Order: sequence, then structure tokens, then C-alpha cells
Amino acid sequence: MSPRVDVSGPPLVRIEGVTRRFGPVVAVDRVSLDIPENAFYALLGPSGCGKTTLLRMIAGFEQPDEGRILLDGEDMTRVPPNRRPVNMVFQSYAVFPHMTVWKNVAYGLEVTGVPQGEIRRRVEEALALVRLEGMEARRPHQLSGGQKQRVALARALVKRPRLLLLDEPLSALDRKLREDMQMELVRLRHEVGITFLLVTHDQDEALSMADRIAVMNAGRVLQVADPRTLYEQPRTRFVAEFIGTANLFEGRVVARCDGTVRVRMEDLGEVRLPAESVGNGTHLRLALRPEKWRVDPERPPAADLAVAARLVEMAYHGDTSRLHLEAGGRRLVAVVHNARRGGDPRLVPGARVWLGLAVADLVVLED
Amino acid sequence: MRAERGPLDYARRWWLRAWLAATFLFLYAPIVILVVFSFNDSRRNIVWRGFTTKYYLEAWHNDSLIEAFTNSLVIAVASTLLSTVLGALLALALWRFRFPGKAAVEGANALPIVIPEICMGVALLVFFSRLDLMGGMGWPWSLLPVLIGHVTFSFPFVAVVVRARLEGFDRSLEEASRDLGAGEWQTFRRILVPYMRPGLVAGALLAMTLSLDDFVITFFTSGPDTITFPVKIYSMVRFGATPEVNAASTVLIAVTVLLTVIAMNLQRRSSAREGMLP
Repeated sequence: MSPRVDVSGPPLVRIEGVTRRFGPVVAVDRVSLDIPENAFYALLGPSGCGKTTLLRMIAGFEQPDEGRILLDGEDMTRVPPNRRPVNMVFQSYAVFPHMTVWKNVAYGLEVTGVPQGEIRRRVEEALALVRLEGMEARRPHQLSGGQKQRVALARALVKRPRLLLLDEPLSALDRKLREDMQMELVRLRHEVGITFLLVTHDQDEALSMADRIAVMNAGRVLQVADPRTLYEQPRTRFVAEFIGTANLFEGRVVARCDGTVRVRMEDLGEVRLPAESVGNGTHLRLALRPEKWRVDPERPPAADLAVAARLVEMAYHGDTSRLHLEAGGRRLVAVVHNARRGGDPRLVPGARVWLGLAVADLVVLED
Repeated sequence: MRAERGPLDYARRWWLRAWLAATFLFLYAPIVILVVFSFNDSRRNIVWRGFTTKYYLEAWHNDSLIEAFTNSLVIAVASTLLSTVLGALLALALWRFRFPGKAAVEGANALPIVIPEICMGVALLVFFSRLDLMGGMGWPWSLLPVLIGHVTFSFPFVAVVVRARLEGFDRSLEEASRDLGAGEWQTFRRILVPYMRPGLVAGALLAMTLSLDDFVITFFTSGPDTITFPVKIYSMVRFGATPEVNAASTVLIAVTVLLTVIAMNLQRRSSAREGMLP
């Protein structure tokens, strides 16, 4: 758990058993979540999992069919979007095309009757915050995608919302810009001290920016955790496979002794796991992250389990290489770091290698 | 060997160019001749006798012609304003809402565009006679039947143009405005109306030109004492096409062209602001 986020106090946003249906489709299914004050919270899931619908209900553009949404303890469910202390950065940015950058940022203050002097001061401040000074007179069509994004951010932040909603904010940017913007968003949040709620389908985005992540699928929240826990200890098969890659194994408990159990992993061998309250014969599903494999041309002496495998294919990614292997009639994935030039020259397709694993790296899944 | 021609190089074929020239000739020669002979120093429109502007002066001093022109302008301005507002509202309703009978409303909207003008004219005449609107009222109320007729056939055109513009509207702009604290009305006035503006201008221009030069419906709906510019010109032509008619028509052409140029400039400016044109 990240030390900056205080989850003990009352949450900023409390989502209570919220359901939203579109005809026969249940977009959001009895979701309950607490978003702590000052968090960088991410809703992560594949497209169509209901994360955007949930975001739009928090913004006020959709009404829940059941359940309540509370902000600072106040029921927001029936409050129209313009009366909520919540602002949103839209996926398409939605920068007003007929207004200059300045007018765009000032808009939210002008329509709520903030005095002119204060508008000038706050717009200047907001533009400085997103580093758009000198662009005031530009029109949206003269801006790049990244700059439009900044206008959208400034326009929302100038309102000093209690909660900033970000709907897939980086999906339209190219890769390099996306990475810069990720850093920028983290910096911004520290500077303004506003709670951010990010919706994304990109696990890298969620892992690198958020300090709390709720993984959603088919309208339900599957797991809420900080990025490290989510990656290292996924609770379900979906989370294990959606965040990063995982080697999944079917296992069966074959013996118990001294607070440990011996688990037979398909045809790969047996491992001894620390005590689980499971009986003999119980089926387990185990997951292992690909970079946890120790890949070696020689049999590794210290591994808890060593598997002889054949290297089928190898994809070079610069910093790492992804190895597709075959062992005991099934496919495995391993990732090795190419710290030395080109990595290990003995790793070529067709090579016989050994895969070693440490029991501590195995995760027992709930489903 | 002949040089390869690309599929879009057809403009280099001589016969196509000739065809194009002929088309332009048939389209514009009558207009050019009309304008040129308005300056002809002769009672008849046949032989060029020398340059004069006296027919413009004559037209200017022809009281009933000026009255007709004034009537036409008043009707055109009023009809344009009404049609633009009504058309825009109809377009907004059709774009924004789903309601029972929407398809029927859309179909009914297209009716005045497709119904033969002569039928519209007769229908309106019968209707207005029933309501006792034809005749018996002083100016400007005597123009009311014509005005209603013009609005009836103009506003569907405005609706079509504005609707087409609205189709390209990004709904998230509206949501962004609401999200930033604007109410429904503020959002309409500050986001939607500016977006609609090019459509409104184009629609208004269309309504203006439709009203200015309408003959058939005006002919049926104008009372015994009301006369508009096209109707007046028609009655003058019946006594022979004098250069005075040419002069009056040239003025009408000039007004229409001027309006078009102004509207196109407005369009271009607002498009350039949104970056749709370089």
C-alpha cells in the first residue's frame, strides 16, 4: 500500500452497490468502491467492462439504476453534472473548437460567474501548471494532440475540483508523448493535491501512474490493490492474465506434511508449498510471471523446480527478450533481460534449456 | 504514342472542354445579355445603340416598381428570420430527441420541398381565403399571406442544412460544457449555437434567395393590392420586355450575388477559425 494514501479516513468517493443496465446488458453490476482522498486511483479493464460507464455515473452523465454515489459523504446520485465538484478530461479532449485556449480554460469559471479578476489569475495559473504559457491566443486546430490534452487538463483543474476524472486520457497520443504525459500527470497530481480517477484499458498506464487500481471485467470489480500487489499477487485468473502475462498451471495436492503441501503441477513436476488449508486431491490453479523463470542452458542446482524445455521462438524487445518454450507438451513463456549485449548467445530457437522456479514466486489463484 | 492520361485528366480532352464551354454559354449568356442590354440606349432589346443608365433612373422613378421591390425586401427579411429560427428549432428537435412519430415529422418536413409549387400556391390561396386573410388589410399586414407562404416553403430547407451541420457535432463538447458548470441553456447558447452558425448562415441565405425570387406561390397568395418584385416584373414583361425590366432584374441579380458573397465570406471566416480550411 502506498504510504501517501490514507485509506483509514472517510473516503472521498463511496460507490455503494451501483448497477447500470443498458437494455438487457448490465454494464455495471453491483459495484462498491471507496476512493480515498488524495489517491491516484485507476479503473482498469478491457473495453466494455463498464469502467467508462462507472466514470460517467460519477461525473453525472449517467444515472445508476440501483445504488448510490457519495462524494464527501453527500449523496450525488441525483445531482446534475454541472453541480458536482467533479471535472473530467474527455477521451476526445472535447476542447471547444470555436474558442481560443484562454477562452477554453476560462469557460468553466465564466459560466459560474467567477469575477473577471479572479478568472484572469486562475487561468494564468492553470496554463502555467500545464506549461501552456504563450499559447493563450491559439485556437484548438493550431494545437497538437498533446497540447489539446493540456488544454483539457487546465480547463478541468482551473475549477479546483474535489475529484478529477480522466477517461482514457492518453489513448490518442503516440508512444513517446504518452510516456511524457504519464510523468506529467503524476507531477500535476502532486502539485495540485487533487484526487485523480483514471479510466484505462492499458495496464502499463495504470501500473506506472496509479497508487490504487481496481480491475474490472464484465461490469464487476475483481480486485482492488496497489500496483505491486496486483502484479505480484493477482487473486484471479483474469487479473493474472490481464495485467502482464502469466504462465498458468493446473495443480493437485498430492500430500500434506509439516504445514506444507506437495502439489503436482501437470506434467512438470512437484513443488512444496507453504501450508494451505487444503485437503488431498484439491485442484489448484497456479500462476507464474514470465520473468520469474530462471532460464539456463545448464540444470540450475538451486531451483525448487527445474523443467527441461525447448526454445521455440524468441522475440527481441530491446531491453528484454520474450521466449516461447515448450515443456512437457505445453507452452510456456519466459522473459529474460538483455543486460549484456544481445543477451545469452546460446539462447537460439531450437536450443535445449532449463527453466528454474522458486516456490515463493508461485501465486495460488482463487479460481 | 500518346501520353498516358490519368483517370482525373479528363479536362484535357478537347470535346469535354467544348462541352463545358457550351454549358457555361447556355447557362450564363442569357444573364450576361440581360445585364448588357439594361444599359442599351433603345426601347427594344434587339440592337445595341449605345450606353446609357437612363433605364435605371426610369426604374427608380417607377413608383409601383419601387413599391414591389420594398415589399419583396420586407417579405424576404421577415421570412428569412422566421424560417431560420423555425428551421433551426426543427433541426435541433430532430437531431436531439427521439419521440414517437419522429419519422412522420421528418417526412412531413420534406413535403414542402417536394410538393409542386403550383399545388402549394393553390392550397395556400384556398386556405387563406377561408381564413379571410386575402385582402382588406392595410400595409404591412397585407403582406402576411405571402410571408406565411414563404416561411412555409423556406424553413424546411433551413432545417435540412442545419441538421446536416449538427450531424458532425461532437456530443462530448456538450458534456464537457455541462461538466464545467454550465447549465443547459448556457451550453446551448455558448457551445451549440456557435457550432451551428455556418449552417444557420447558409440556411438563412437559402431562405433569403428563395423568398426574393419566388414567383408561383407569391402570385397565388398576394392579394389584389399586393405586388412583389418578381410578380411586378412579370406583369411588365407582358407589355413587352423593355430595358427597364432588364435594369430592374439586374438590380435583383446584384442584390442576390452580393448576399451570396457576404454569406460565403462569413462561412469561410468561421471555417478558418475552426481549422477546417487552411
